[in-house]
Amino acid sequence: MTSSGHSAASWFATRAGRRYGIELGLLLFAKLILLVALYFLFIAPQPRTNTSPDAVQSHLLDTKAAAATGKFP
Amino acid sequence: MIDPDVVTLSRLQFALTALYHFLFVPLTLGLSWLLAIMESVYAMTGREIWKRMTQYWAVLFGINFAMGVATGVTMEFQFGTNWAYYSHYVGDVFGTPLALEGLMAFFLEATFIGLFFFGWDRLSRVKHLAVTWLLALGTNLSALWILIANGWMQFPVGAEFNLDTMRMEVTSFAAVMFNPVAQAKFVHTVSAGYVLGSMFVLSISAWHLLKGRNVEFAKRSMTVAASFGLASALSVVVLGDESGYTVSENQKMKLAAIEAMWETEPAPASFTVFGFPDVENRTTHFAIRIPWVMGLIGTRSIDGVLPGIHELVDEAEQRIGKGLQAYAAMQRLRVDRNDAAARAAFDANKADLGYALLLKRTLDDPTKATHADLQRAAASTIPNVPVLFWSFRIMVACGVYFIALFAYSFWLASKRRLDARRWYLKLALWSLPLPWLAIELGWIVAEYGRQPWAISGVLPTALGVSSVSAGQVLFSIIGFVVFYTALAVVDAVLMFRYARKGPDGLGMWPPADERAHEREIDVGT
Repeated sequence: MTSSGHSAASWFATRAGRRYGIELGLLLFAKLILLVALYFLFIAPQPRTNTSPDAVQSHLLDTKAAAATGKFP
Repeated sequence: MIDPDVVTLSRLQFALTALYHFLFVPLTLGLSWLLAIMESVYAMTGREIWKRMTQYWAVLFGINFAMGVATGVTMEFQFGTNWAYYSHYVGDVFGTPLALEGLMAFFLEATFIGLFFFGWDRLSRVKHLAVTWLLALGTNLSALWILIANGWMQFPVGAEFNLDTMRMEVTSFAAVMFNPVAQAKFVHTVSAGYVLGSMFVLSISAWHLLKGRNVEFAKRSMTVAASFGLASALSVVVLGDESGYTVSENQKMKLAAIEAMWETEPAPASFTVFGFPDVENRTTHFAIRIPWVMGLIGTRSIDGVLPGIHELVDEAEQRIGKGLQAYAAMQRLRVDRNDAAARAAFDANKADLGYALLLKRTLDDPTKATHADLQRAAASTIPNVPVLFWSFRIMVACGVYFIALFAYSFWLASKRRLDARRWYLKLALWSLPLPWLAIELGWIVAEYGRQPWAISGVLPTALGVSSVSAGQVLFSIIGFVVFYTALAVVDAVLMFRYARKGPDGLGMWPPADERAHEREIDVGT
């Protein structure tokens, strides 16, 4: 065939193309597993910050002494 | 007071993941349009080589997409773990474009990427072409929403602080969407991605030509890359100028730092081409200046004044003073919600509340700040001048180089002499890392230049960090580095393998019957 002619089957449907697809699929699967592991190993164990309006107000306005005693002002 | 180690480590972690994610995104942005252009030629001419070209570059696009996708997810993790106060304080505004990016753009992109790879034998030529264009559109829409979110961090419009909920809330979503900073950043950033995509195709094709392989394939690819690259490189400069103009309007300190402009110059200000900024003595040594240029670029007038760093620090000190009045009013309102005088004082000064919060980085109680504390806090609004100064200049130098390289490539392509000069092919090959360098430096100018603010003028970065320990942040940084390093190795191996194999090595081109014919000729000779 020359550079113009009938349209051949997609390269992605060939053996090499299927292998490429499998490689990318495995890669994505491995990434998902790693990402989940990353979340459970490094993210989930971290403490959750209290971000209620009162806590944010305290974060912005409280002095150390007030924060320690919970009394303001 | 806030633990500076937590702030530094949280910033480091976010910067590492953002810079890493940003290695993949611009290439996806650029390659998606190049695929669309190549397939359009195939759809119009029916010539098989253009279909194979689309498929070959799609192989590399697929690797980049697979490696890049989800590397940005860890930034969302960090909003929760390291930046909880930031997320609460501005989440109502910042979260909306992020959600829209996921729902509208990423789903569009993810759906059409499947159809793109698996639809070649199932869809008609025109329908598949439509899929490819929609894939490119989805990719670019994704960037639009992210940059709307980022633009709001640079120039927070369409939102105001609600004292009852203690957070910023949207007052005009249209203002957030059509934020001039976001729009300018979007077009500048995607154009930079197009330059990267073009350079990627140009460089790998040049390598094939140097090896004498896939000649027709590589020359056609280079012709597309040269044309698209030249248009994109010119756009980057024009749109970068627009981006710079919005900075001069809305982020004056960032611009003054980029220029190392310590004093306000008479209009129009000069542009410092070269020099060594000295932060300690607040001067620039061996400065080479071009008169008028900065004033003309920055204000688009001959009488517009660009304030220098000293003047902006004085202005910041005044705003800290006003912000302290808002801060004190907040304290009074905390005791008595119905204190009308405090409410009025707060409303009058709330625009500068963020400036008072700068004091929280070093002082437990900002209302006890001395004049020296105010001066120190005002001085902290100066970003890292040498880093910005040099990052910007190297980025611009790269941009000028890209215009020259793509213009020369375009000229060679028009003369059909792309493979005539080996030095040019080597130059094209070795230019491959430069767009990445320019893009990452652009990110540094934009984001490092925003410091000390997470949201310009509203929320200091230090106030956005969660109540976690430095050890906890360090622990997750280690996890991220291990994870991302493994990904980078896999990406590099796959990219090199498929790029080196080329269309012939992958059995993609020439077609099987032509290869058989070539073998017969080889045997005959």
